[in-house]
Amino acid sequence: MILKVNSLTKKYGRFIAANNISFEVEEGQVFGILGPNGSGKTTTLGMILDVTSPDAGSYCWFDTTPGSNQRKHIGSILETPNFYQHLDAESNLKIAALIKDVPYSQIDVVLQRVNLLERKKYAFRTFSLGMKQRLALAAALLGNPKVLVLDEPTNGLDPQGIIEVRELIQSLANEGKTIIIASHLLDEIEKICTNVMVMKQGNVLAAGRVDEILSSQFGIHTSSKGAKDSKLQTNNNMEEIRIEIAADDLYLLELELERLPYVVKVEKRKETLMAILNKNIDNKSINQAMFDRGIVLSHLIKIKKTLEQQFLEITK
Amino acid sequence: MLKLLTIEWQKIKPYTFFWLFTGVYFFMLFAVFYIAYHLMEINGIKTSSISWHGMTYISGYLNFFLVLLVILYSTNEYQFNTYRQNVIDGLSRRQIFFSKLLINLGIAIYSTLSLFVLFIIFSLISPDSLSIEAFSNEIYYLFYHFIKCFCLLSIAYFLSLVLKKGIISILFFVVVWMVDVVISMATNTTILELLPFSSCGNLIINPMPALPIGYSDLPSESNILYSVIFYVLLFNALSFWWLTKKDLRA
Ligand SMILES: Nc1ncnc2c1ncn2[C@@H]1O[C@H](COP(=O)(O)OP(=O)(O)OP(=O)(O)O)[C@@H](O)[C@H]1O
Ligand SMILES: [Mg+2]
Repeated sequence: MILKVNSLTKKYGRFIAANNISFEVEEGQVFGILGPNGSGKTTTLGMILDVTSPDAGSYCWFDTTPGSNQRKHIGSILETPNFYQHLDAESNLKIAALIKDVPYSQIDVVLQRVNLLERKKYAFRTFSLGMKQRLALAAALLGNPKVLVLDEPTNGLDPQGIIEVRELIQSLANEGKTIIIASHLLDEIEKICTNVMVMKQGNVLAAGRVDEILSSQFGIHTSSKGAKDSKLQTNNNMEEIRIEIAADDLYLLELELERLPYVVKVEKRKETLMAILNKNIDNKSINQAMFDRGIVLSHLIKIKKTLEQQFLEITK
Repeated sequence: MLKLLTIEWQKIKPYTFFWLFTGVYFFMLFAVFYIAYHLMEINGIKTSSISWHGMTYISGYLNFFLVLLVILYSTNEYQFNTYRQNVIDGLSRRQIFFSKLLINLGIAIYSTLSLFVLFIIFSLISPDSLSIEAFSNEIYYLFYHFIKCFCLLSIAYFLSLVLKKGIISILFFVVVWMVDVVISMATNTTILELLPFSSCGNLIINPMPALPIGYSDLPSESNILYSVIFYVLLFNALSFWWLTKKDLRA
């Protein structure tokens, strides 16, 4: 087990920033923490990195009692890039390398990996936000740690930078590293995470495998036990499946669609119709049903709810 | 410990502000010696009558300059969340405390050494011959200076941890200082002469007061010394407690 968190709680006065947070991260997982602003993601990460003192609860890295030496094997970014303003990129990484007991020879390697090598002699305060963020990533990669804790690693990056960092994270994951990542870029979580924990106002709303969190919303029962544990199961009766559908004669299509037993509602769009179904019917059956009624479809797609939509729903 | 020093050295080495401050401090100390000698000369006092007591007393006024340095250096780490980053990278919170303790010790030693060196230099170049007596007599005042300086820096460090902002810490330091001194003066109670700042001030009293004001009911010198040492321990313990128990964030 890489990390086990037991009922961590953090209060600021009477405000509870993190309430009874428990989760586990296994080796090789890419564990996403998802939640709107102020939901307690950074607070939670701060506690497991020993910079925020919890009011209750405990955590355990690598199945051993917590200690500062463990963090030398964890590369972390928390909230903003924190560096010495008066030092250049290289000197800043030297300090991190000294702390982590990593040889200076690694500095160029990590700077290269985030495309900052040619800026290594520039003072940190002259860096743009995106460059600062990349330097923070470089620092996290020092010592080739087997665990990475990344709090919004693509914050402040341009589209190109976002893609680069995502690819970097993906390749790190492929190397077998365990990655804990907090983000509100939801498609990011969907793309790179194997597991996700959804937070809202300091509480954990749901946790499980990314595909389970997704499928539980659609009512497709996967037989694994994680899905049963998922709190999202309770949402099953609220499920709705949408299809976008079109034919030459939209009026006729609308009439026929409304007769189908599993169609709850049909809405007009510009050149298509949006139908809400109460059951997950495959595209082939819908197509066949329309064809039987003499309508040839020119367009049919099922709108899969993205994690983003789900996320918005769960945290509403 | 060597590792902590290496890390601090990496931070300080290219830190112009730090070297500027320590350089200017030395220059000001030099000026104080120069003025003292000059005044002695024009008043017809033999420069060989210079004493550790006198010089450590006058130099004490420059301690405030070192207090500024410690506050600004420490709050800077808070403002840019680098304490936090150091911990995230793998230092323990107690290591953070010890590295700054070493810095504070270093600054107090630097101040004491500067005094020592300047004293020797000025004794050597003075027209009157350097008397071994002036040199060895009351040399324990150098230690008084050191412990007083370190005590003030320890208080400054603790305030900087609690208040986190440079300007606020400096203002607070000055206000507490004044309140402390006013209380102990106004009440004229022996025990209140042992408040933190008063203790530091009373450790090296003015050797030639213009106004013969009531130094009469001061606690004994050794009690003042114990009191200063007590405050050194107290404020460092408080800093340690603060750094190990509180959230590390700006
Ligand atoms: N030092 C503090 N004092 C008081 N409240 C705080 C403090 N730090 C955080 N909070 C509060 O705790 C809550 C959780 O903050 P946190 O930074 O963990 O959110 P987050 O999920 O990381 O949000 P974001 O997506 O904006 O980064 C917020 O409501 C915040 O206002
Ligand atoms: Mg955050």
